[in-house]
Amino acid sequence: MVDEKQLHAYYENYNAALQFLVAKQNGRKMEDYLKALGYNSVAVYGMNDLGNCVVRELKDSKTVRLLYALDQGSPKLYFDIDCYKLDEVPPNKKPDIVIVTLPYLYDEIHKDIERTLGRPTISITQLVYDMDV
Amino acid sequence: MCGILGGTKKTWNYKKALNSIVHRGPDGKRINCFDDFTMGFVRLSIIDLSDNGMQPMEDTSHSVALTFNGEIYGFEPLRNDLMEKGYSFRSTTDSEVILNSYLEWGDRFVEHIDGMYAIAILDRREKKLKLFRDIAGIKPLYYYYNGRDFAYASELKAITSLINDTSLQIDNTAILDFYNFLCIPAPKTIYKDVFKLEQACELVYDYERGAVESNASFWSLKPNAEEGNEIIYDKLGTVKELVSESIGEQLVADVPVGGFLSGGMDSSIITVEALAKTDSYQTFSIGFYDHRNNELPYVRCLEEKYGFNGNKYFVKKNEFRDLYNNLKEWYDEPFADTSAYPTFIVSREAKKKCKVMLSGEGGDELFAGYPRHLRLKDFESGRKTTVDEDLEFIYQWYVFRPLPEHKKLKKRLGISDDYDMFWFLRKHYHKDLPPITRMQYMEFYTYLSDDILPKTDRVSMANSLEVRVPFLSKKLIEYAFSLSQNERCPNGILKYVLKNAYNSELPHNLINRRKEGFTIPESFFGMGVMPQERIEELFLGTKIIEK
Repeated sequence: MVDEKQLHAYYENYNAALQFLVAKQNGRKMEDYLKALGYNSVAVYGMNDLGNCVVRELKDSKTVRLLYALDQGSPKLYFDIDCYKLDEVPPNKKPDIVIVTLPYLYDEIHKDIERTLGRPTISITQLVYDMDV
Repeated sequence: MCGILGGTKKTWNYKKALNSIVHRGPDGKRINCFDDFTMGFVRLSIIDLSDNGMQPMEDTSHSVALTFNGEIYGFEPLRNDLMEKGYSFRSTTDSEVILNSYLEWGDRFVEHIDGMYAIAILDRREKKLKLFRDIAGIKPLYYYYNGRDFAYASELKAITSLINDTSLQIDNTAILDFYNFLCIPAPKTIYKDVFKLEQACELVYDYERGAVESNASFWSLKPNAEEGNEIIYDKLGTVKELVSESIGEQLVADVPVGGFLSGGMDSSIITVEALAKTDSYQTFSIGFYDHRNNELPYVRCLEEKYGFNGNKYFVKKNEFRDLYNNLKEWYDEPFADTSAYPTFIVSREAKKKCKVMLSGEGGDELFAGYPRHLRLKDFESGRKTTVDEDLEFIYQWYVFRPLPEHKKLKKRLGISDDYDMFWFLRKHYHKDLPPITRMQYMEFYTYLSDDILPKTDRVSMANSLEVRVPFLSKKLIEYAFSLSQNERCPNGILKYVLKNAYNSELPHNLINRRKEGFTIPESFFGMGVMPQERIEELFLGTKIIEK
């Protein structure tokens, strides 16, 4: 039996990953888009495969600083980067924006993240579509 | 594009009714009382922005008054003709051209004009109020008639606001029709005694006697009844000329003009033709954060070929949720075409930069763009079917509930068993036409006029944005249907004529792409629920049939 929720989650991940690929093939850079919006520093929430793609994309950026990763569970960390739980974030290290890499959960969790950190969030899905326009 | 209304009773609240449609015309408002009839108008200034274009508009002897919503295309030569006949003009508006055309030709003035229109003419010499609606039903026109009193208006909300009559009864057959067709088809509305004037019709109301004298068609589509052979090259050229001419005429405005660009063939053709005629043309496109619904890659193909960068806007789920209940406000009666939502949003974005938009409605109906246009041919292939069998087969493409559920619905709504659920299709179904032509003809008088065009009118007007539809010029409609079936759709190739006419102008992936509807992702409505079921609850409060 197919778990509909899980299927939906896989589709959302696929949708975001596919659009990320399309945007990259169109020559887009995530750092350019974030910079154009006025963001100088980011954090990545959700260290799954998509989260690691975002880290790979931004870790060497000279225009947008990747401060750290955030994860409430057991993160996959393929890169040398600090990773905190939401309530462990050092108070003097707040990012301009948090990229949430759990598209199927974004609606449920983004308000909590924004309230805890006092910073705006953006869904990975919106980010990879908007950066391609 | 404007809002019009009028009525017989002096005690009706014309100011309140006019305010209810002020979104159709925020640039000016006027109510005039003439003898036994009052006319009101809200203006969206598009041509001649001066007060000379204000309505109700009267002739110099005050014997004829006009309120008009819409645009007349290519009216300048007609204006010149009338001037040569001795008529004078205070304005450069098309409204005054209609007025003087009526003075010259009487009711037959409609034979001399082309455009989108809902016209009300008060002829005080004859003591008559005459309503006219354009041949495709682009502009709406509602009227109330209880056997004595009469009112008309551009939107249903203005009628109900005007008469403020709590004795207005719901027409249960209209509710059943909503389930059948996802809209309430003309001439019905949700209320008894309130009607839609059908397309290409003239209604005459004698306000001295208090009686509707006539309600009849002034034009009818005469399709080619031949199966015929594949189209010859010259005719493709003619189609292209007519499309180009129509777009040229519909770019005329004293305000910024742009176009909706969906990534489909029709809007792309309009864009290419418009860009060739004016540098100031801007496009507006909608995207979704979901590859299943996002058509922006096709938009980009056209942009890259022609070197322009249109306006693009992504619709977010929370934005849709905020708009969800607005469907009731926009349509005033049950209406379940969910493409109303993205159309509202793209209209809203377009209004920030333009006041007039060109849109591709009509291309599929004229040139066989829907896969279902072929299904009837397959269904009939090799056998003789009855009209009832055909209608039962066709019907499935419009409904979201299976046929057996309708028997339960009839019972719940107190409608007799012998009520013809297919009446709306049957009325425009001509078995003597070859099947693809037959489907196109029927949809010109049903799906196009009662779903597609009202959908666009209400949500664009909710943003005070005028939308014009170049594919629905009279010349193009008549020419498209003058082609034989095989000229329009040889070997089952949908949109064959447009594909070949614009083969060198459009990117090939755009020409060959699959036909997609313009709608909201189903996930916006919640998983496992058909959008129309949610809309049923929105308008009717509950599901009439519980699962």
